[in-house]
Amino acid sequence: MILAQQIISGLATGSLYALAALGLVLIFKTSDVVNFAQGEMAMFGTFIAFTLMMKGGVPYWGAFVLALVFAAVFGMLIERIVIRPLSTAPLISVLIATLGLLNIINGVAGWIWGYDPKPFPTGISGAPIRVGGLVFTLPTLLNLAVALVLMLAFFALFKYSLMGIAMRAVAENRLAARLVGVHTNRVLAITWGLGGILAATAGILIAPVTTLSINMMAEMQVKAFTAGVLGGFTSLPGAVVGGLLLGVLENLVGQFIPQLKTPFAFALIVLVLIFRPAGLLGTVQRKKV
Amino acid sequence: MTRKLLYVIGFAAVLALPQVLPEELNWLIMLLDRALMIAIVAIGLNILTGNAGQISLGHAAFMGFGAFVCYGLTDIIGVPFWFSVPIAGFVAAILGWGLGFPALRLSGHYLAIATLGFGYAIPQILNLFEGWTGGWTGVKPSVPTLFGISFSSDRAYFYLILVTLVVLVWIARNIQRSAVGRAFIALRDSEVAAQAMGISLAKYKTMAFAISAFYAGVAGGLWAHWLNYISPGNFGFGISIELFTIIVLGGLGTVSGAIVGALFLGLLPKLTEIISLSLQRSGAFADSFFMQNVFKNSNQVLTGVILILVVLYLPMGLVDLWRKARVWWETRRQAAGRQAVPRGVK
Repeated sequence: MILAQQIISGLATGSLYALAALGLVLIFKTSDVVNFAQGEMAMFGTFIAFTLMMKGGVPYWGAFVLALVFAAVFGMLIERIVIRPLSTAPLISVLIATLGLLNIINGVAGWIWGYDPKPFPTGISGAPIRVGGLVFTLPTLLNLAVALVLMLAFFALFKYSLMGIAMRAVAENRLAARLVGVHTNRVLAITWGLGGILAATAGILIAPVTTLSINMMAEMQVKAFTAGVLGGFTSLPGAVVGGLLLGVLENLVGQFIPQLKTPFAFALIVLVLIFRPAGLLGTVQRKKV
Repeated sequence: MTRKLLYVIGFAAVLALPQVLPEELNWLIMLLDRALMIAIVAIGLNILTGNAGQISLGHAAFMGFGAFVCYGLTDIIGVPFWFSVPIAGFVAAILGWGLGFPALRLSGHYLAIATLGFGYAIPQILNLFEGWTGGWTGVKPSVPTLFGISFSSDRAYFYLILVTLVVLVWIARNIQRSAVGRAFIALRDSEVAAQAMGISLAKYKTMAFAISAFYAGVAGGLWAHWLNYISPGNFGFGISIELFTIIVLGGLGTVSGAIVGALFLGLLPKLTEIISLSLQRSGAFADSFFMQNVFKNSNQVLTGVILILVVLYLPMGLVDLWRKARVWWETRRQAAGRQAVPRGVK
């Protein structure tokens, strides 16, 4: 019973990791950029929602939606101003640019909202649901549901919609995609916009747990990387599976060997990358000569 | 000839610096000490990233590891300081060599993420050995004494760092100009082509990791006995990112780039602090929450903006400005020379 409850609380944290990882994977899949600023985009969007609620008096869900609109525009702006000019630059330059963005977004958020942590409300509240002897809290169920719905929605988008096919074409070969009439720039802009939306969603759902502060995503971001690596950085279902698995494993390790709980995730990254670099559900990318 | 003379004068000026600076500028010596130690790590990282093309976002871990090895040797076992610093370097190099093996299977983004994980894991693991590292409360390494001289002040320590830096710069330049350095560059530009030329990936990638970890370990040893307080938490993501920023900012693949970048990034915070403080004292922004926060932390945003600007407009780093300025000057002079020739005479 204790074990089952541990697994459930592992799923609760895992769903947060999964949410944070989804945006990372979406952007990486299409534009081949590992966005180190993803967590900061999440944090910024969450602060926008917070300001709307506290200063603007907007109700929770209204603030949620408006923050997502902001996040979409924000993501597209980042793509237009920083990422697009670097489309032909070597990988290391893009990496550095996203690290620069991390610094800028984090710093500017500190300027606007200060450095003290603030409590953040949850979307739903109420008595936890009991099934047998197991306890499920409502926010946990919401997080799990949102992670799964988003995963399925984006999976379907990639697989069946024209936009998704264009995204895959851009990921596969940008030049060829352009030659057959795909507006590659528009596709990339939309990808970053969607990435921003995913980031803000993750931030708003994570903030009640971590409390809202400019550094709320610092460790979450590393966990999201781990989740992405574990599930496969090119697979959206992989991101969710990886996130949930990481949450559960971490909790179980914490149960049996408490002092290894924190280093565990980091050791896992290295181990997975050594033994199965493509992750659980990812596809192997071979370098063309 | 004049070039050599300039070098000698420049070096003499650097040597005299701690002696001529007044007491009020003690902070400058402190910042220079820190920047030069960071420069040592950055030179090593630049060999790994700039020359061999392997990204590492966890380099502070090697520095921390070196710091604790050096502390353990000097203060727990009782090895003389001058001996334990290079030993710390070698022990860190073994760790780096070990990390080189998993890195063989990774490249690009994946290597960046793996080293990021490594950089987070090492402080956590060091933290578990409380008898050695003191856990999160940390330990207090002793003040080193060499030939009866105690290096307790930042001014005295400056020379210790400078000597180490000069030796390590000399080694780095020799590595870069040797067959090993060429092999690093070859495998950075194309692993397949390098292998076709008979360069062993396993040998040279692990070697690049070992060399850069050696630099970090030595600097970590110096750092421990300079700061006289170390805790595993000090060597986290922040320093790793600072190191990475330095080499990009200064110029990838050059020794001078690492030093220029370290000095620039080391002195920038003080500059923004001075400006912020004077603006704050003027009282003009006393009632603005936003501006008060800007004064508290303007450095981070500035670093980010500079980083992006460098990537967009100066991909070879700050050291490239010097070359660009010279090219501009030469073309101007030539243009002026051409104009001096009367028209019609060819």
